[in-house]
Amino acid sequence: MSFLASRLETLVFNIEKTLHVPLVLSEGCCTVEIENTSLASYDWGRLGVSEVEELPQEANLLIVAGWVNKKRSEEIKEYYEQMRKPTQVIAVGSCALSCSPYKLGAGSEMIKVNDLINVDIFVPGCPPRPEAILSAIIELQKKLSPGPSAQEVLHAALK
Amino acid sequence: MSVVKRPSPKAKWYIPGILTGLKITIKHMLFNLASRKDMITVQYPEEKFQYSDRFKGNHILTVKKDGSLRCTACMLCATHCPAECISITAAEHDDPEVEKYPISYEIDILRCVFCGYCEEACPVDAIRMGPEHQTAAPAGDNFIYDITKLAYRAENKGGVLSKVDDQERHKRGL
Ligand code: SF4
Ligand code: SF4
Ligand code: SF4
Repeated sequence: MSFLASRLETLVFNIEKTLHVPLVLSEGCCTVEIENTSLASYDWGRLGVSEVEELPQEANLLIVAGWVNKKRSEEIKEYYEQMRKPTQVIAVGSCALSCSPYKLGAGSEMIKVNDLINVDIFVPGCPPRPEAILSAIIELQKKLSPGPSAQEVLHAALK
Repeated sequence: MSVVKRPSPKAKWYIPGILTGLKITIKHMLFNLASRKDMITVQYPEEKFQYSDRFKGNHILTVKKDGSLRCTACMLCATHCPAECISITAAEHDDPEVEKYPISYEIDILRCVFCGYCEEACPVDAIRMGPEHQTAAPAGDNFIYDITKLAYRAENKGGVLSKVDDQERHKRGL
């Protein structure tokens, strides 16, 4: 019995690890591309990302996009602390990554997301193509479970 | 006084309404099952979307016929860049016909906004916006693209030839 229970535990652990429940905090024009990625034309459900979640307590993948100013940064931190652990973070767009094309330094209101929270995957671009966001999710899965993915094994077997 | 028209007894039955809604969904589902080729979803890692020729993707530094960089380190692109993400270090070339060349050409891809101004500013077609989409990478990766990555990465197959050739330009007196 204990063997079965441990197997079940690993199964649940693996499912929890590979099922991404996203919480999208996005401003500006990058929102459009994220919507495009989540809907029928690119459909990130194929890669194991579920419906966009509104409650931070249930989500474990945070997607930050668009510009981040002082007020917004407090909001992002608050959301991040409430999220399910371990939390993965994807930052999308130049605004979130490096405040570009706004100037950094004195007088700037902009804040990099990486200075606030630990970003796992960076997606450069203004805005990035939906393919770039999808490849970010693939990178994230590679990082979470190293080695060949089930998809690659299946493709190799079919060949 | 507002008069509200009572719904007809037929409208109270919600099941036909649900079925009408489902009819569209089921139609789409059957259509997609019947012809998977016409499905609008792009199956990304296996299937690639065909971009237009004007697509602005990752930068390419073009090369001359002998394989060295076409760039003359004139700094026009770095001056023009709205994000100030290009940094070039110029050096003198051994060949007296070639004025200068870049010993380091770096683009901070996290700051780049893929506007294409560098491509427009360049007088000798030395930098181009490539046909690949932007590259997502995990934290700790190198996000400052150098000459090896920009000019000689695997997708470029040993370097993309510049449209401008030295001899032709000299003949035309440029
Ligand atoms: S990164 Fe570019 S596309 Fe995205 S929100 Fe900022 S300005 Fe808009
Ligand atoms: S595409 Fe625009 S932001 Fe990027 S390097 Fe060229 S000029 Fe700079
Ligand atoms: S890429 Fe073109 S514009 Fe930029 S320094 Fe080289 S030659 Fe000048």
